[in-house]
Amino acid sequence: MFVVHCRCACSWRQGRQAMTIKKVIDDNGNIWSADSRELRSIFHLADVDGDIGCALVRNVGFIAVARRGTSASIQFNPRTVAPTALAALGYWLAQGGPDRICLSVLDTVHRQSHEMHPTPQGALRRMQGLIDKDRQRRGELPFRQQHAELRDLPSASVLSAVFECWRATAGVFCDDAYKGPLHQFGGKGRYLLVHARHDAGRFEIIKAGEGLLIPDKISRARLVGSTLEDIPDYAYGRWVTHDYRQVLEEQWPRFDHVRAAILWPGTGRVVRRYSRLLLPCQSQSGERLVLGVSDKLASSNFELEAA
Amino acid sequence: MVNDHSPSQKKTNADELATQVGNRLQYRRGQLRLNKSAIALRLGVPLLVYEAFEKGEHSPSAIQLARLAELLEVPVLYFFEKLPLAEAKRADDCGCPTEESIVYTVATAQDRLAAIAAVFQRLPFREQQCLLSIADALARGVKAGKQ
Repeated sequence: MFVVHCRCACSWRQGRQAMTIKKVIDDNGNIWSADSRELRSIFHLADVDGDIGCALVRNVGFIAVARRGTSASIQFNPRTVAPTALAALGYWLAQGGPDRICLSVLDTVHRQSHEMHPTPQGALRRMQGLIDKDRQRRGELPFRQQHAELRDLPSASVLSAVFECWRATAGVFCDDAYKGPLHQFGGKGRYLLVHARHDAGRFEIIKAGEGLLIPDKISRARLVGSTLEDIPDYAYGRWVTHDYRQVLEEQWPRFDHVRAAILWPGTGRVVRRYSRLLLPCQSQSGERLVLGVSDKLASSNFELEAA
Repeated sequence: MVNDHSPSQKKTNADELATQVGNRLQYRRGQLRLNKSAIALRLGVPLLVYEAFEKGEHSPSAIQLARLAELLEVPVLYFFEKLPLAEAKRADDCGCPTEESIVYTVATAQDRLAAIAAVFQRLPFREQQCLLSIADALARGVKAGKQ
């Protein structure tokens, strides 16, 4: 068996320990020895000396993997990684179920970072998070938001009424106190109350206002009890979850203007423009909650920019 | 490279993963309310093969899984996440609703009428005629039973 030692230029310069690459997963899900002659010939690199693994990971969307005992290492580039390579990686990890994963993240400008994850599940979640972040940065997701200051909350609106209620109750959510503000100004309650579960940072929807603009009745009926990520538009669910998580971690309210083309079964993508207030709350028994309230868009500037 | 995993352990892990991927496929398809035949057709496999994927009897290849992710509008790593308990339960509901779940979701006569009307409107003419025949036959059967 051949073993190829790959030393990325940056880690070499910084004196870090180089990673041993033993196999690469290609964009068809095939697993190759990193120094395979056949692989080199496919890329017309048969006469090129040295390792080609890093270049394939960085530029062509392959994933490099290695396993030592109960540990495994994964090297990938969130921007270029091929979905088929990710699928093959999932199967590869399931074969052995390593206890620890060293995740090396390459980008296209010769930078590399390393992270340790205690489980394959954690590493895969992190990989998806990095892919989402990259897509978001490049504007590939059909969701946009503009952060706004709390002092810009529109007066005489549901958002400001709920915010005042939140201040008065010190963030302790109880139906009686919030029912009035959530339904003010003729609204039917356009809100979600989520509970932070312990498994994988998921948020379970425990209350959903009647006023939420969901065109699909079945999806609407299934909302309570499901997690925020598992709404029919999975990408939107993940995108929103990120903001809810930030509010929970920072324990500080957040106000945004949002434009999102949301996918619903039967209707396809529906464009929604709204202003949203997220509030960190807790139940009377001390459970950590986040209340998300939406209202019609309160920023004409954002509307013009997003149009 | 050290290979400290026995073939039997690999098989168990592969079986577990096949079940997990199958549950995820079934749940997601139910969520988007797509039928198995349409997915199988677009994936380019016979219906029986796709059904075996959902049942966890076989795992789709990496290429097939990436294509399924595209068809079901989820990232491919979605299939490797463990299904939370509530969603797993719901996945069963999506595939074949139990009598209990039907009674729970369509509790009143008015709701049942609305539900049947909504389903009826989505059917093509021929299937509408079939449904009317079935409903008529069922009603006659109930009437005969009472007599």
